[in-house]
Amino acid sequence: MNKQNSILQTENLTKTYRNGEKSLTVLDNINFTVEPGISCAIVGPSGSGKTTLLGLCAGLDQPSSGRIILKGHQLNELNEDELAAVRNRHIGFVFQTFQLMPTLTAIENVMVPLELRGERYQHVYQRALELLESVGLADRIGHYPTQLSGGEQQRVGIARAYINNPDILFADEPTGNLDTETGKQIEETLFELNRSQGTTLIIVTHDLELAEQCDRVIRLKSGQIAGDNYTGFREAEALNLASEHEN
Amino acid sequence: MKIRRYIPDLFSLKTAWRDARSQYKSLALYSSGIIAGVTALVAILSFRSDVLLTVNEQARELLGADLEIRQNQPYGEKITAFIDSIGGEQSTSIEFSSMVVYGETGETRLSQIRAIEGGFPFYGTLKTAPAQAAYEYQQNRSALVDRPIMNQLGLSVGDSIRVGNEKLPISGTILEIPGESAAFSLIGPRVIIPREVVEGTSLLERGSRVRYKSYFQFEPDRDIDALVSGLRPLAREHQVRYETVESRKQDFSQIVDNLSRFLGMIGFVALLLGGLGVASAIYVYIKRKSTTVATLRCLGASSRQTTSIFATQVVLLGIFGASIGSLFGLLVQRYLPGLFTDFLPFEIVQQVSPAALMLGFGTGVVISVGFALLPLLSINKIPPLLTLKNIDFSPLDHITSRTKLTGSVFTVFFITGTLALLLQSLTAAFFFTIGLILSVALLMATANLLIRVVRAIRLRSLPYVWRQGIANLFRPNNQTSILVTTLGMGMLLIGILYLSQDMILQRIDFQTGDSQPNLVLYDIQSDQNDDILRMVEEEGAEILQNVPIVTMRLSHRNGQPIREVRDDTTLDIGRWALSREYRVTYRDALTEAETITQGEWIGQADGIDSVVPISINDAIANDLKISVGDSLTFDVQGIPVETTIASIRDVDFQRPEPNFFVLFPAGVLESAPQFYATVIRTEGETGAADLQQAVVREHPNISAIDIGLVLESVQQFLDKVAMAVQFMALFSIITGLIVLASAIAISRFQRIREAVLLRTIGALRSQIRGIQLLEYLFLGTLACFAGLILSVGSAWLLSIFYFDLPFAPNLSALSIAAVLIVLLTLLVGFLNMRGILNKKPLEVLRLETG
Repeated sequence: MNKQNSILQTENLTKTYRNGEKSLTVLDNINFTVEPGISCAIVGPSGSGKTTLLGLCAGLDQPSSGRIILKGHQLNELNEDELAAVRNRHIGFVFQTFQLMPTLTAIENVMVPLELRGERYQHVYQRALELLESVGLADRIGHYPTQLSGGEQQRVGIARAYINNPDILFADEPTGNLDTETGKQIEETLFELNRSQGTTLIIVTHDLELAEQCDRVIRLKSGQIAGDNYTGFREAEALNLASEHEN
Repeated sequence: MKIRRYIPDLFSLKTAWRDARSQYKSLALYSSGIIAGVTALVAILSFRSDVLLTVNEQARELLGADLEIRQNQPYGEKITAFIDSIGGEQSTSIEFSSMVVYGETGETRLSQIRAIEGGFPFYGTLKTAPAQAAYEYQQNRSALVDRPIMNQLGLSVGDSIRVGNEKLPISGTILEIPGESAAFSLIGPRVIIPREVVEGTSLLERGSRVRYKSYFQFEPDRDIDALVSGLRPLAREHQVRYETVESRKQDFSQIVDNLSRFLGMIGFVALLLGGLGVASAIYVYIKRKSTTVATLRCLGASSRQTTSIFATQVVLLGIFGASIGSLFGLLVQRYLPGLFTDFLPFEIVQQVSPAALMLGFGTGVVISVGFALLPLLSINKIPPLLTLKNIDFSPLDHITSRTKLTGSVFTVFFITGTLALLLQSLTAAFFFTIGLILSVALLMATANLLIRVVRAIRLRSLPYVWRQGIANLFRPNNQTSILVTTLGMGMLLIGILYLSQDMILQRIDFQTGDSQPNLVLYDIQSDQNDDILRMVEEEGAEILQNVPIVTMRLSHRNGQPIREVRDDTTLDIGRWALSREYRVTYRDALTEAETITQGEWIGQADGIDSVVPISINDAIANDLKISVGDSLTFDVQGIPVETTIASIRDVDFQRPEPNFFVLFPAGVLESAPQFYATVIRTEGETGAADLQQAVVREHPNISAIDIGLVLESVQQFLDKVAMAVQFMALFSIITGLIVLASAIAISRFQRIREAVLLRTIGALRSQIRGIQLLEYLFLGTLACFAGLILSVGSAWLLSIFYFDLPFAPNLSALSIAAVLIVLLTLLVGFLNMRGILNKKPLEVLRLETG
């Protein structure tokens, strides 16, 4: 695939933690490219470096060496505030522990990314309301996170992730804190929005069933890529989507 | 635009508000640490402003006249001529101390006599009971007597007193003298008599120290400044002092300023402790908010925005705390004058002082924001990765040493600047800040040491409840060290205050020792001395010293006439040391109170015709700028006596026996006109009073100092001062308790979770209650212990270097204060504990996932 058409690209990505004289390489020479619009799962056992890789790709941390290019921005050359601006414009997040601000209501949580851009309140409010309606929470907009169930909190998280029409959405174990049934509903919501909004979806997960629903699965083992597979049908679909984006 | 960087954008303001909205109660508590400090500061500053306002409005009543002239001897011709020439309404008085015999029982007291002629006071009212007595005592040839002595001796109007040889009926009780506070009575009872009776007392002839005063009232348009400039050269030449309304006002304002600065400093300590409390609370708050900040960073908030959100909250909290404090300050201001009633010569006019309010409020905001600076600076160090990984974020660990140093310097600069504004002296502010930082550091170090000791001795043999109670002091995010420091500072202030007061009293309490004197008689004339010695022996009392005293004045210093020395501005020698009357003794040996520091003590000289080798006290040597080998010529009642400084000695003036700046050797002054002071130890409870009465009956000019009564007066005075200071120290304790309450609120969720966990695994409510109460018990005890250790340490140093006393601190009263502080700590803890025990486990688990 043409690297020019990618939304995310890593080159020789390495992350090493140093503690005095000891060092621990968590990610070792990771190279991959993600096409726009596809869904991609990163799987692997605990300690394989999945979350570290997600953090680096989303510009939440800096690599020890190598490059990350997201939507044309070379993340490792940007400072913290430039990274924050890139995240606000291009990225959405869904966290395992939801990470809603406990002091804000559901709708206020959803509004934050657009409010950060300084957009007009009425417009932001309307958009947040639509998203909360689309995840089935129209009647819960004034509730604080502690007044919502885990599934509801995660749906607020998803609505927040989509409010800025992100080019790419990173989800870290999005169903990890939920029961099976609620987890299924969340997965459906995620993929539905992924399809309807054309957002690239990167999911870190232990859940192989969830991973198999993705177009592509990258397997990590001991900080290295142990496998990188497209499902046949999905691959073709992904390539189509890539060319659509190009146009 | 650089300034724009520091102005929060709309998003930050909105989020600050939304974030604060649902937790306003606990946020308000964070800032409440500064409430007590601001209360103290606003109250003191407003009080100061009230006093100054009153002084301004009642300045003429303070002096009672437009001009006062006074001299320590009858006026000479030139002064009399000047007084006659300036016109206006005039009144005169003669003031001196003398023994007064009160009532029929013959009780005697060394009293302050004012013999007045004319209409003084011209301004303000001499308040007496009955009121007309103040206007009639001169015509009636009667006396007005101070209220405390009237009450103490059970006297009433119609009884009589004897002053010297004059017996006078008491026509009124003195309630208030314009310009004098009630505390004046502590020096000695005040007695006002008509001037014309003074001659009949025969007191002025025999050695009394007398002050002659003239008071003037002029027409309102009279130019007092011009009058004073005419008086100035005359006053300089004849050692006459004068005071105008303006100068009295300035003197008084100076005293008020000093007092309010001192109390203001104690209030400021409370505010700083509150600041420490705020810093600690904000530290924990930021730590708790770190994932929220990380999420915001993930969503694209810039570091400026995230910092702005919490900085806005902190500033608003500071404003909130300072506002509440200011309101409370205004409330306390209304009651503060009650503490100073005895020290103020007027009733205070009260009003709201915008300047005091602004200064107190501004200081509160600045301190709360200044102390929160370092935790706030750590916000932009919070990594967005916290959203993905469960990392413990400790705000201060992520700040570079350089930022920490800059932040600390900035905070110290803030404190010093604010203090300089309060004290109106940069030097004083600097040293106070250094002292304060040192004491807080010492207190923190002591607190940490104690905490470590307690941690180390968490004995396995203790019951579980005790072990858990102690363990709670060390829970993550604990504020034990700050709490021990703030509560401990209150204990430290009270401890130092009490122990110093105790030492001052010990220093002058010579009644307890067997060989210590309890009565000093002075102004004994040569022809009375033998009789006095006989009377003392007859009363069965012991004479410890019988000291001859010769009065003299300086005429030359190193051969130069004193007038020239005074006019020589290059020498810059204090007028007091040059022109005062020296009371000198002579003997061949030093006493226990004296130590030679330079030169050699020579106990015997060859008479008045050769140069006399004398010894002078180091303080007067400094004042006169002379040292060993220099010469002084004294005018001993008309005869010049040339001396050389043979030695300089340190004198302990705090001892009750007479001590002297200038000491002559034996063999020079024996034949000079002299009088005596006798130091006596009497036996039995009434020994001192009986002897005084006998002496005054026979020799009314002789004055007696009853050391027991002096001690009582000093104690009363110190008690009154201590009450005001303790009141201010109370604010430190209140701050400590508020900081404690806020710390408990911060850790409330953690406490609830612990309680729920314990209940889930079978703990009884009584056990959980016991664990929490024990935690507060340890906290309070540790704080009091830290404060006590440091106050006893400071008092020990004071006893060695200042009071020169064997150190025997009286800890019983301090223990009561300590127990009270511990009980208050327990009460605050108990009040906070109420809801915790009623929480349902499920409710808590649900909260935890949020």
